[in-house]
Formats: sequence, C-alpha cells, structure tokens
Amino acid sequence: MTALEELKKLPTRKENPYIKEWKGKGRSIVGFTCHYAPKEIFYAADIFPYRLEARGTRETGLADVYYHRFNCTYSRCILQEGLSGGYAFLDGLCFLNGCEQIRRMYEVWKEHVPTTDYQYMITIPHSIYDEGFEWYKEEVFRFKEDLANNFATRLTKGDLRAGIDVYNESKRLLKELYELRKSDHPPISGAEAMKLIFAADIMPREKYNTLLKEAMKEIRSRDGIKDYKARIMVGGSPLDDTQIIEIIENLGGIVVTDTLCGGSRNFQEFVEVEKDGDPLEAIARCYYYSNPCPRMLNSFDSRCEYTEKMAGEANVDGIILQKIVFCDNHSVECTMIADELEPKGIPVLNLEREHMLTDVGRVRTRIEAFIERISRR
Amino acid sequence: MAEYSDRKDRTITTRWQTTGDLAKFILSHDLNHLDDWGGKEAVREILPEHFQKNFDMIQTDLINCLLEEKNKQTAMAFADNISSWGEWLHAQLDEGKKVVYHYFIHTIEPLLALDFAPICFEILSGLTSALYTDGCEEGIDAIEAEGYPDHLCSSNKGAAGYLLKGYIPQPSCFLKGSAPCDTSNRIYEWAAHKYKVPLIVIEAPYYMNERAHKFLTEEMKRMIVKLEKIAGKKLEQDKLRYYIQLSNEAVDYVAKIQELRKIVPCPDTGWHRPADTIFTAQLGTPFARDYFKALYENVKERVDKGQGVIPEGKKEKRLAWGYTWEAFDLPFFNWLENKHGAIYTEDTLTYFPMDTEMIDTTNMETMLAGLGRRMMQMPMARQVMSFSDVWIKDFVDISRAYKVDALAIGGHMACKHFWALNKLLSDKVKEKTGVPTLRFEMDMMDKRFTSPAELRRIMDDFFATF
Repeated sequence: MTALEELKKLPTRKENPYIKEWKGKGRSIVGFTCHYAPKEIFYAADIFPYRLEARGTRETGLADVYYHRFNCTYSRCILQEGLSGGYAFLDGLCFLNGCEQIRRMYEVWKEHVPTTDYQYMITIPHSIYDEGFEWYKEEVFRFKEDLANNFATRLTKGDLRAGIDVYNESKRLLKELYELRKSDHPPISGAEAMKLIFAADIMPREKYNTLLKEAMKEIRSRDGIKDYKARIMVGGSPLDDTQIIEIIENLGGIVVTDTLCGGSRNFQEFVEVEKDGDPLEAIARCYYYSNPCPRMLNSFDSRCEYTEKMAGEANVDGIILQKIVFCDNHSVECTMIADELEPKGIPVLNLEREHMLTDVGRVRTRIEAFIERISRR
Repeated sequence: MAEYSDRKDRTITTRWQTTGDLAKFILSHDLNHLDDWGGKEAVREILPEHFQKNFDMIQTDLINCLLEEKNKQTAMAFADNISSWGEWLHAQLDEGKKVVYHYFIHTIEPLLALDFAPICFEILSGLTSALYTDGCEEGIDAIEAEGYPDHLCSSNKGAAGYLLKGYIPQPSCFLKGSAPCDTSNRIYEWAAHKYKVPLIVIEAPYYMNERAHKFLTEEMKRMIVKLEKIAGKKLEQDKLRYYIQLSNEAVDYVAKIQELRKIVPCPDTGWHRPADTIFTAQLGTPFARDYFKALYENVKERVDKGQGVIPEGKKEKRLAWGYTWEAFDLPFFNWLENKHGAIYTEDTLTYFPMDTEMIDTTNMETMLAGLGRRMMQMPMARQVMSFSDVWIKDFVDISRAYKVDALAIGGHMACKHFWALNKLLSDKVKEKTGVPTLRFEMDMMDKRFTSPAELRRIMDDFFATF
C-alpha cells in the first residue's frame, strides 16, 4: 500500500493499527475534544493525542440517555462512542470549554465512561485579549504540570521544542497540500484531502509526517482534475467524515479548500519560539491568537475576512457552510457570513445537516441546486 | 393620567408601562375575578379609553390570577414596578442617556452610576411573553425570518426581533458576560455587528474559586474603563456606592424571603417567581428594592399568621424547579397551588446561594471585588458557568433545606448545556436525597412549543403518581 493509500484508508478507533502499536509499547493515548487543545504538549510528554471523532457512528441510543434531542448529533455521537467502549483505549481525556455541548460531556464521561482514568478541563476565554491570554496561558501551564504528574514524565523545554517541531512540520506539509489544491487542476479531490487531514489527529504525528511527505510526492505526480463544474469551499460545524464532500464531488463540484477547525484553521499559524523563549508560552500564544472559532466573541470580522481570503486564494465559485442542527455557534455564524459575502458576489449555501448524514436526498438536492447556480459549465 | 410615548422605538416599554398603570387601576377596585363584573368584554367597556387597547392584549388568565386575594399584594408590587420603571426609563431616554443592552445575569450598578439607560435584553422578551396573549412571538418570528435558527433562545430572539422591527431604542453598546451559553453569545455578537456598536464582554471564568474571583474583579475594572469611554465620564465612587447599597438592600430581602420559604406551610405564592427573575435584572435600582421589599412584607405577614398559600384541606406538595419555567404562563404556578397544592420553593433562575454576601461598599476596590463575587453568585450564572457539580450541589442543598417533595426540571429548548446535564442532575438529586424528579421540554418564551394546556397535562400526570 502506498503512503497515500495508507493515510486515506486509516481506520478509526478499534481497527486503527497505530493505537495497538503505541499501546503495545506501554505508551499512553489521551483524547482531546477541541481545536484549542495544545497537542504539542501531549506529544512532548510522549503521549499520543487523539482527536475525538465519531466517524461512522450511526446511532445515539446510549448517548440519548444522558443527552437530549436538543443536543447536536456530533456531541451525541462522540458520547455514544465513549459509552459503547469505542474509546476504551484512551488513558485520559482532555476537555475544553469550546462549546456548551462538548464541555458538559466532561461530567457524563467521568460518571459513565469508567475506562478513562484521567480527565482534565482546559478553559479558554471567549474573546481574544491580552488578559484573556494570560488566563489561557496559565491553564496550559497547569495542564502541562498535571499531565506530567499523572503520566510520570518530565516534560522539559527540549521536549516541548521537539513537539513544536513535529507539529510545525505537519503544518508546513498541510500548507503545501492546500497550495496544490488551489491550482486550476487540483491533483487531489476534496474527499481525499480531507481524509489526509483527518489522519493527522488519529495517528502518531511523526509517523504521519513521514507518510504525508511520501504521499505528497505521489500527489504531485498526478494529473490534475479538470472535469468539474464548480470549485467549492466548505466551512461550518466540525466535520469528521467525508460523506458531505463526496456528495458535493459526485455532483460535479470539487472541494478545494475549507475554513474548518479540523482543516485549514488547524495549520495556518506556526508555533514560533524565540531562541531563549518559553516554548510553552509560544504554544499557548499560537492557539489563543490564531484563527478564532465562532465561539469567540468580538472576532466575527476576522473570521469573515479569513473566509473571504481563503475563498479568493482558492478561486472558489461558491461556499457551502454546513451546520449541524442545534450547533448554536455555527448556525448563527454561517448565517452572518452568508449575509456578508453574498452581497459581495460570493455565493453561499447554508446547509443544515446531522452528524450522521441520514437525509442524503435532501442534502443532495440542495447541493445539486447550488452547483447548478454557480456552475462554470 | 401618565404620559405615554407614541414613539415606535418605545413600543415595548410603553406597552409595559401602560400595563403597569392599568393593573394598578384594576387592582385598586374591589374585584376578585373579571367575571365578577361580567367578564373581560364588560370590564373593557368601563375602563378609561387609554387602557382599552392594552387591556385587549393582556392574557385574561393573568388578570384573574392577579386579582385572586392571595396574589393581590404582590400583584400591586409587580404593577408598580413596571409602571415606575417604564416612566423612569423614558425620562432617561428623553434626557438623551445612552442605551446599554445587558445580559440578565449582570447587576447594573456601574451602568446606573455612569448615567446609562440600561435595558436588559432578555427581559424584553420575558416580560412581554409573561403579559400578553401574543407574547414576544412577533420578535421571534422577525429574527427567524432573517434566517437565524429556531433553536436559539427565545429570550434573545424576541429582543433581537424587536431591534429589527424598531420597537426598542437603538443601542450604544451591548454588555455580555461570556457565560452561560453559546446562543446568547452569538445573538449579542450578531446585534453588535448589525448595529455597529461595541460589544463589551465580561469573561466569566469556568471555576468558582479565588483565582476566578480575582480574574472577574479585574474584568469589572476593564469593563468600567470601556464603559467610561462610551459614557464620556469617570465612574464616581459615591454614585456607585449609592446603587450598590440599593442592590444590597434588594438582595437582603431576597435572602430573607428564601429563608422564609423553608417554612412549612410555604408562605410565598408562586405566580410571581418568573417575575422575580425579571426584577433581579434591575438590582441597583429603587424599583427592584421596592419590589423585593413588598414581596418580603407579604411573605412575612403570612409567616406571622401561620398561613400558607394553598386551599384549605389540600396537602402541601413542595416543588423545586431544577431549571426554568415558562415565562409565558405566570398563572400556571397559581393553578399548581390551587389544583394540586403544589408550592414553589426555589429554582435556578432566582436562587441566590445560601452564603450570598453583601457587597462591601467601603471603597472602589471592595465594591468591584463585590460585584465580581456577585456575578459568580447571580442566579443561573453560578450554575451554568461552571462544572455540573455546582448545579447538582445547589439542588441537593435546596432539596434538603426546603424539604422538597419533588424536583420539576423544565428544560428550555435552547439551553443545550442544560440538556447535556439534566439526566445527571436528576440522577444525582434522587441518589443523594431520594427526591423524585420530572423532566420535560418547553420554550420559556414561546408557548407555541409546549402550550399552557400541555404543561398542565404534564403536571396532572405527574401528580397522579404521588
């Protein structure tokens, strides 16, 4: 199997060979729930950070005992995986107060998912300002101490610098990948690219970098995709499945970029440490100040500018903002962005969906109509 | 006769002011039910003309509830409040004072001391839904028509819709604590963006410890700097002290009432409890102080006489409300008392923790530290801003201290944080205290979600299990 194939086909959770291999060497895996989790610190502590996902989860019966139909299906599917043993391999879990629904999972998980020994909550302010940064920085410092104490590691500055280097390398490679996608004839489909992005957070990062570097050679050698009707950018709620992208691409669109928290927002900024600087502070600074999530107040303009910039750079014909039902942050954000960009001549489709895409017919019809509206041919 | 503004941007607040005056007028007559004088239509005919249109809008059941003997005294306090607050607000606006829309869990002493005209955004929806047959549905429909989702909080949607319709004054800025929820944060972001005014955020830390308190105190200072810039003046210590003293007086009455509610039989009526939340958003004004003082005197009078509030012969069932209630149906709690003997002990939206402190008014530093502390203790803020443990502990404590027979956990549709907690809350309270719970869905300000009739059926069924 080529590196590209391996990354594209990497299974999640129980079937993921890297989990078995890592655990087999007596090493720990700690899950995290949100973009703002400082993954470099996990890595520095020789811990494999695994982003919680619920790819392929098709029902929420167990989760619905504790959560409700008014909770988004993304949070319910993740909880379902926890309750049904899908995350039994985790040695710990780092929550963040990213959104209402995920942060409240902390207590339910603690009470009802006994296989996770270690739980931690990092809290991040809801707006970006210097005193808020000081709060978050202290949270990150405390987390580092707690992680080191619980997993009996030393976590030196050198370890942190090594973690930063590995993650910066991923970011550099992913930027390259996104550059290739900007071309008139992208050598990789949106669905394939998204699979490569998903793989980053569910396998050891050094190994990921090696495979991605290799995969990039293969991608570069391909003929570009020419036969598409419209270039599309995807944004909105967290996405951990390529199903919606496959629908877009099966209908003649090609997804060439995104503003997703697990996607482009994840690698725009590098962690920069001065020669004598504090690597921990540099990590905190990078997460806090870059690419705000819609949960951040007073930063709509910067998110809107980022959306417009990404759309422009990738020369998209339209933007599909998919929002999971009951996701307040993205539901409002998507509407606000559409209100800003449509008058500027950037077509936007606001599409409500569930995490487990069951009403495929409705979604397909909406996307088909949108592609017809913006089609190049 | 009071002067009523005909300005479009005072539509909502003038409506309230008129309703307050109208309620006072009706309550001053010897009337215990509209039917005593031939029904609503007949009463309308004998009302002064300037009240008639407003009278048509008011929920008939609410009028009859207020006219019930046991409710009259608190009804008068309620009417007095909305009448005098409305008159005061309009005077502030006439003087050209700037409007600050603020979230309902803030106390507003600094806004008052800086001569702003503070309006609680959520109360615009809450009080309107409590008073009128059509509630705040016009506002809700207006914002949803703009493409904003129905699963946002109706307390924010109603007010946002009123802004769009021009029924409330233009803002100078919005003031928002970052807790408790995404839905309110997003609507405030939308409103500040739409109306191109500053959004001042008070970051509410996730913890209930000294580190959080220290941070929040500093947030108060940062907030004041921003407010001073908008106000164009400095905050004066003596002015702030004056408003905090009023606020302390009100909170002291609330604490005393909370103590008295522990008595069996319960000496307090339930109809006004959603209104208590509304007036908590006025802490720092004389209107809130006077309202809670009147409530206290009413409750104390019953305690002194050894009276309860349920009909004779009924066994008292002591309910706590684990979260919200429907603001659109104040008579519901009166109905619970009269039909089921079910009284109202405490809830999340009015409850101050038993160790609530008065704000030390010695100097600016102590006042700001006190405001920070109070923000951590404000009803709903404390439970929602932090780990679920805080919420659970409050209701374990309430269940024990108030000898609660059942915990009704009405869940507001929009509160996703709550729906991720409600089962845990129910389980833990039952495990620690043995108190049974009832969990059900509603929308606090939109009766089209769970209707008053359906709510009554839910309660009938629940009490059938007792």
